[in-house]
Amino acid sequence: MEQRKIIVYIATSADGYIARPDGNVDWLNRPRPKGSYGMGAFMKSIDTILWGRKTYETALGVGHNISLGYGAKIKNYIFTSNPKRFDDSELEFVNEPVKEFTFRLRAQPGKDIWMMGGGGIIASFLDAGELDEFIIHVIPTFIGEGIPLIEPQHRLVPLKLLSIRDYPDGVVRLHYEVARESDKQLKPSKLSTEPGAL
Amino acid sequence: MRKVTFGGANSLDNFIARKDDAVDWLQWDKEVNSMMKEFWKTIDTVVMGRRTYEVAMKMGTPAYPRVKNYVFSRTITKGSDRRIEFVSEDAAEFVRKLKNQSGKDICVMGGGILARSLFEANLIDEIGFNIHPVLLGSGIPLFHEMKFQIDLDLLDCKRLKNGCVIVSYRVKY
Repeated sequence: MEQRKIIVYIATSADGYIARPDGNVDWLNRPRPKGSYGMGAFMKSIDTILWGRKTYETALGVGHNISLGYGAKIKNYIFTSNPKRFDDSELEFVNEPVKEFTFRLRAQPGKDIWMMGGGGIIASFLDAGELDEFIIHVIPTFIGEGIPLIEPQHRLVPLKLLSIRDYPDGVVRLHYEVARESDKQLKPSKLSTEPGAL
Repeated sequence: MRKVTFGGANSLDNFIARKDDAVDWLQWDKEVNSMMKEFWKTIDTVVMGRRTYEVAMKMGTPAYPRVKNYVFSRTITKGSDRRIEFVSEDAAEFVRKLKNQSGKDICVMGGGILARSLFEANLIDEIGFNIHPVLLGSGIPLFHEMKFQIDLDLLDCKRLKNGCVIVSYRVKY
């Protein structure tokens, strides 16, 4: 059986942020083209969503009932250092090292897993080597400042581009696979001598 | 009027260099080279900030050939390369004047503080990214944080054989 993948499926601004500094995502409220960037097909491919605590609370703040919002068949895990603070029997609050959690999760049969974010939990999973793919919808706007896709820390993660697609409203979808240890071959063909040149 | 374009090679998380200015992760190949060749035909002027100039100096390429090179600096008035003109006046004012002169397009090199002040003055017309298939996690951002939002029109997006993605936008003012 094919291993369940953990996929970051997210929108960023063209300057690389997932939200304004206070978590606001008002800039995502824009008319969507028919098909909503393939969201339906993606939802059919997953049965589990992973949330960081802040992202979960932001979602609650906008009156969004998580378990109902994405369907009762979806299992939601929320990562928090303080699971006892929360009380919602339909959700599972997790405070466990990433590797132990993913080992358990991947051992269960099921569909792929949606990593909702935010930047902190994406960084933790990435650094644990537990992210398989990124599907990023680049919104054609610079929001100027905000929360980066991945919490800043020095790292070098080579990716493999799987596909790109652009939509009539200017959104570009980039689909990457995180390169495995075995095929990490980031060998620049020739070093650049022109800083910042395209 | 002459167009001002700004762009660069960036990581997927939008850095143009590591914290120590290293760009060892950049990939160059024939496809990018021929695209750049076409691009250079459309411009005759390059402007850059002092920091980009200093990084370029270290790498041995202070001036771009066959174009007019301007470096904005309040402290440097003369450098070792005669092909570079140092400008101490306000960068936005200077670029506004350049735009009103006749000539080919103008390219903003590097980024950082210069790019932000030109964005703030509504002087940048087009933006191009060469998004590399890599996450750096930290480093020097393509441009500094701004207090306002800029909406864009997608002009083009194209996948290169080496896994890089070229994306260009027109700024909506």
